[in-house]
Amino acid sequence: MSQKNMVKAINEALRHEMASDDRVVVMGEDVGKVGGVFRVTEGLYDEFGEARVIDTPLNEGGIVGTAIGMAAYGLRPVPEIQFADFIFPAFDQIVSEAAKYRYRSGGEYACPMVIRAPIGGGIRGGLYHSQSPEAFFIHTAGLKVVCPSNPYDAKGLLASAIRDEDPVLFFEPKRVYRAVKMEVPDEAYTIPLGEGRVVREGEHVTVVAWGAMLYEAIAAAEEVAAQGVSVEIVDPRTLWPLDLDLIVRSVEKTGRIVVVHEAPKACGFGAEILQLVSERAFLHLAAPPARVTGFDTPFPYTLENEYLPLARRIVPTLLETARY
Amino acid sequence: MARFEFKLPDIGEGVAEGELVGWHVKPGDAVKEDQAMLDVMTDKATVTIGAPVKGTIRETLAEVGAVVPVGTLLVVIETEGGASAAAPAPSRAPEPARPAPSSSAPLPAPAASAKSAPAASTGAEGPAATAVGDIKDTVPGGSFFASPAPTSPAAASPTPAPLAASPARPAPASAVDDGYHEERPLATPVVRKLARELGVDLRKVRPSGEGHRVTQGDVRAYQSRASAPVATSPQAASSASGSRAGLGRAPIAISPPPGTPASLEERRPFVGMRRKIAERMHASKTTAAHFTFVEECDVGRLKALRERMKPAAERQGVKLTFLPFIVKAVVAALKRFPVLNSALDETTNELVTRRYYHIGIAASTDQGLMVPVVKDADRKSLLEVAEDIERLGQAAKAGKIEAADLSGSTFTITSLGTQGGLFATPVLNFPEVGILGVHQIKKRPVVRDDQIVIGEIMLLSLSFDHRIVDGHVGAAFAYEVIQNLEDPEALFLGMA
Amino acid sequence: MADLLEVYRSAVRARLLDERLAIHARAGHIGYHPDAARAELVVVAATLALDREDWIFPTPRDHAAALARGVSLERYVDHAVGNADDALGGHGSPGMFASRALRIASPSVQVSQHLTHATGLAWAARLRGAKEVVLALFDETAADAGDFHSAVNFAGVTRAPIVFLSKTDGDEAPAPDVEVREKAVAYGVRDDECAGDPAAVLEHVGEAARRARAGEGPTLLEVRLRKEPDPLEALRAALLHEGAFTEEADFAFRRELLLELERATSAAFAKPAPRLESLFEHLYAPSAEGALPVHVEAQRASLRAAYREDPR
Repeated sequence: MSQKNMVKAINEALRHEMASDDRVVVMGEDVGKVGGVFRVTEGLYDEFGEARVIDTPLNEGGIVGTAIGMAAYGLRPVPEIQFADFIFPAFDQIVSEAAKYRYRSGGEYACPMVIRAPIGGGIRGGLYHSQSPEAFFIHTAGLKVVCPSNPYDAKGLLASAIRDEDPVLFFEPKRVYRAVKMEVPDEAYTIPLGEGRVVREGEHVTVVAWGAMLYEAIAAAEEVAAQGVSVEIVDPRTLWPLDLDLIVRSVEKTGRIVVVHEAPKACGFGAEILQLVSERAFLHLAAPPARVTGFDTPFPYTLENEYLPLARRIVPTLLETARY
Repeated sequence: MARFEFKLPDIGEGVAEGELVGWHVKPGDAVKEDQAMLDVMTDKATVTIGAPVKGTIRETLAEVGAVVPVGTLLVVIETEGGASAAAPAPSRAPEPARPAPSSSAPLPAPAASAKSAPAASTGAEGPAATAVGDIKDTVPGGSFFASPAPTSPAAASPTPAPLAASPARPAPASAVDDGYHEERPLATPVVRKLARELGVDLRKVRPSGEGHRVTQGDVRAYQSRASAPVATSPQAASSASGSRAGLGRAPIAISPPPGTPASLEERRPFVGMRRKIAERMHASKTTAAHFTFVEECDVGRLKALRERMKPAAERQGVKLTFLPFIVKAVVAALKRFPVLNSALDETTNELVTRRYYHIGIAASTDQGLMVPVVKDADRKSLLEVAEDIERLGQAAKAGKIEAADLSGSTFTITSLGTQGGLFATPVLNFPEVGILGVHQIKKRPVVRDDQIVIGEIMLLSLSFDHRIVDGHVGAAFAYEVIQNLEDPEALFLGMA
Repeated sequence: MADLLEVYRSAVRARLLDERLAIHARAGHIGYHPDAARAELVVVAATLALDREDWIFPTPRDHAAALARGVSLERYVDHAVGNADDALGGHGSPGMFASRALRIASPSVQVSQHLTHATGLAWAARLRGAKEVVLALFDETAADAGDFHSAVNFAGVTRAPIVFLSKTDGDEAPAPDVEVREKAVAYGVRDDECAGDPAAVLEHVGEAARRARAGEGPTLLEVRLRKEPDPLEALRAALLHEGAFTEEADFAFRRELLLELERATSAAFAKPAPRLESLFEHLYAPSAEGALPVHVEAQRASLRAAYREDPR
C-alpha cells in the first residue's frame, strides 16, 4: 500500500492482469517502447515483450478491428486510443462490430476487450484532446462503459474490465491522471462493474457525477453545505450498465437529483440518468431533475474552464433544486 | 387576428369557484367590449361577466351548471388586432420573489417546508378581481326588500326562512372545502404522492409555494384541518359550500306517477343560487340545534319616534324605515349577550366571540334569498345604518351589489313582511348562532294598566343554536331586544 | 487435397440452395437472401484448399464456405428463416451465418470491416504460436473501403498468417487502372493472382496457406472470376467429359439434393420463431446469476407483459 496516482494505478492493473493471464495483450500507438503518450503503459514492454505489448500503425479503426479478431481468437486485447477524441475513426468497428459480435452470432463469438482512452478536458488540450464521448457508446447496445474518478477505483475497475467477457470502453479522466494521489494496494484486486459508490452522504439533493467532475461536485457540495443544503454524491463508476438502484435509493431519500457531466447537454448521459430516475422514482421527486453539463458547442481551447461544469456552475443549480 | 383567453377571475374576495348559470353568447357571436358574456354564481352573488375585448367568440368552455375554479379558461375570443391579445392579469397576487440563497432560506425537508409556508394571507389571497373592467357585478332580479307581494314561489312559502349568502373570503383556516386551483393543481410528484396517500384533493389545498405550488406542508396542514369542516376567523365566517358533497343517502329520483304523462312535468337544472341556498340550508339544519322563541313587542313608541325623526332624515336624503331601529336594538342586545354574536370554530374547538357587529339583512329576490351586510353597525349612527340599508337596497335593485357587501355577517335579521304569518321558525345563517325574524306590525287589543287599548304589535321570531345558546339566554336576549324596541329613547340614551 | 468432383458437388449444393432461397425471398417468406453470384466454385475451392483448423472470414454471400465445411442445408435454411433453431438465435441477418466450431467467422455487412478482424485473428494465432491460417474473402469493391487498407497494412506490419482472396470480376477492367493485387505491394504483402477455375484456386490458395503456415507472411490473391458462361456449368461439362460421372448419376445427385432441400425448407418453416426472451440473449455474456442489467431487465419484463398471451 502506498500513495499512487491514477497513471500508476492503471499501470499496476495492466501489469497484474498480464502477469496472471497470458491472453492479455496491450496494443496501441506508442504503447510499447515509449510507454504511451501519458506513460500509462510504461515498463510493460520491457517486462512482457513485443508480442504482448504491441506498437501498432497509427490507425484507430485498424487497432480496434484487429483487436476484435484477436478477441475472437481468444485473446484479451487491451487497445489504447491516445485520446478519446481519436476514437471516432474506430467508431464503426466499435458500434457495428465489437458491440454486436456476440449478439449477431448468437453467442458463437464474443469480443472480450477493453478499449482504454483518456477522456475530458482541463489540460489545455483544445477541442480534439478534451472531449467526453461516453454517450455515443452508452447508446450502443452491447458495450460497457467505465469511468473511474480516482486511482483506487481505476485499478480495481480495470482489472474487472479486462476479466469481463464483453467489450468495455474504459475512459480515464486525464485531468485526474496525476492530480489525485491516494492509498492504493500494491496487490491485485477488483471492483465489480456496475456498482456505484456513495461518495458523500446528504439529505437534500442527490448529485450524480463521475470522472474529473466528481471533484467539482464535491467542491460545490461543500459550498452549499455552508448554506444549509446537504448534498449526497453518487459516483456511478461504471456508466453502463448503470447502478440505477443506488441512484434511485438516494433520490428516494432526497427527492432531488442533479447530474453533472463534461459532455454537451443534448442527448448527454445525464438525460438518460434523469429519465431513468423519473421512471423509477417519479413520485419521490420534489424538484425538476436537473443537469449541469458542458455546453452544446464544440470543446473550446481557450475558455475550457468556462465550458466545464465547474463548482461555480453547479452551486446555483444545487440551491435552486434544493429550494424548489 | 389574435387569440384572447378569458379565465374566471377572482370576482370577490377569496372567492375560489363559481357556478356557471348562463351564457349570453355562443361560439361565432361577435362581441363588443363589456358586452355580457356569461353569468357566474359564486358564494356571494351572481355576476354577469362582460367581454374584456372586442372580437368573435371562438369557444365557450363550460356547461351551464358546472362549478369552475377561479382561473379556469371559460371563453376564447378571437380579437381583431394582434396587440390586445394579452390576457388580463391573472387573479393572483404578485408572486413572491424567489428566496435569495441564504442560510435562513427554507430547506427542502418536509417538516421545514410546512413551517416555512407563508402564513395566512399572502400568496394567493391577493387583491380581488383585477379584471374589474371586465366584470359587472349585478344582482339580477328582485328588489331589496321584496314586499309586499313576492312573485317567486320560494318567497311565498310558509316558512320563508332567511338564508345567508354567507361569509367573507375564505381565510386559510377555512379553506377546507374551497377550490384553489384550476383542473391541474401545481405540485411536485412527491406532493401528489402524499396527497394520494392522505386522500387529499389537491385542488382544494391552498398553495403556499412559489408559483402557486402546493407544498407537502400545505397538504399536511389541509389534512389536519379536513376533519373539522368549519372554522371561524376574524376575516371570515366559514363557507358551507362543501355541503353539496354527499347527501348521506341514496338520491331520490322524481318521476310521474303511473298514468301521468311526463309532459306534465317541467325539468330545469337545479343550479345557481337555488342550489347554493339548498346547500346552505342543509348545512345549517344538519349542524345547528335550532330552537325558536316567539314573543310580541309593542312598538307604539317606536312608531311615534320614527314619525318624529322622519322629516329630519328626509332632509338629509334618508328614508327612515323601522329596520335601522331594529338593527340598533339588536346590536345593543348583542353587546349585553355576546354569545349571540359568536360562532364555533370547529377546527380549533373554540367559541369565537366577535366584537364586531356585522348585521346581515335577509332579502328575498326573484332568484332567491340574499343577505346584504351592514358592516360595523355598532359604530354607525342610526342614519348611517339607514343609509347603508338604502344604499344596499338600491344597489340590489340596480343590479350592482358588490360581492363584498354580501359577506361577513355575525348576526342576521330577516324581515318577514306582510306574508310572514303569525310566527315563523327562521333557519340560522350558519355558523351564526342567532337570527331575528321580524313580522308585520298590526294593531291589536292589548291590556295596559288594566285597560284594553290598541297596541302596535309586532311579533318577533328568534331562532338560536342550542348547542351554544341556552334557552334562558336566548329568551333574555329576546326580551332585551323587545325592551330596546319598546323604549327606543332609552336605547339611544344608552348608546350616547 | 480435395479433388474437383468434391468441389463440384459442394458448389452444386450452394447453387441449389441459392435458387431455392431466392424463391422464398421473392415470396416474402424470408427477409432476403444474398446469393453467391456464381462465385461458389471459387469459395468452395478456397475452403477446401485449407486445413480444417484454419479460419475463414466470409462475406454474407459466401455461405458456400460453411456448406463446404459440412453445414447441413437444414441448418442453413434455419438461419435464413431465423427460426428457433437458427444458430444465430434469430439475431444475425441473412448471410451472417457463423460457427466457432467450424471456424467460420461472423461476416460483416460493411464490406471490408471483417478483413481487420481476420488480420487480428491471424495475428493472435501467430502470437500464440499456433499453426492456424486465416482465409479472408472479399469482393473486389471492398478494396476501395478503408478497412481493407487497414487490414492489409496491419497484416504487412505483423506478418500475420493470412490469405486475402479478392473475388474480382474478370470481365471488367479495373478503374483506375490498378489491380487489387497491386495494392498489396504498398503494404509489404505478397501479391498473387489466378483465374477463377477451381483447380487454379485450389492450387494458389493452398500455396498461400502453406507459406503463411510456414511463417512467410500474408498473401493477397486476386482471383479473376468469369461469370459467363456459368462456371459451374462449365465444370459439369468438363467432369462429364472426363467421365467423372454420368448424366444419370448427376441427375440422381441433384434430385437427391432437391429432396433434401425440400425437407429442409419444410422443416425450417414449420419450426417456431425464437422464444420471446431470446431477444435479450447474447447481449452480454450471461452473468453468474443469469441476471440482465437492470435497464434491460425492465425492458424484458415490458416485452413479456405486452405479449402476455403469446406462447413463445
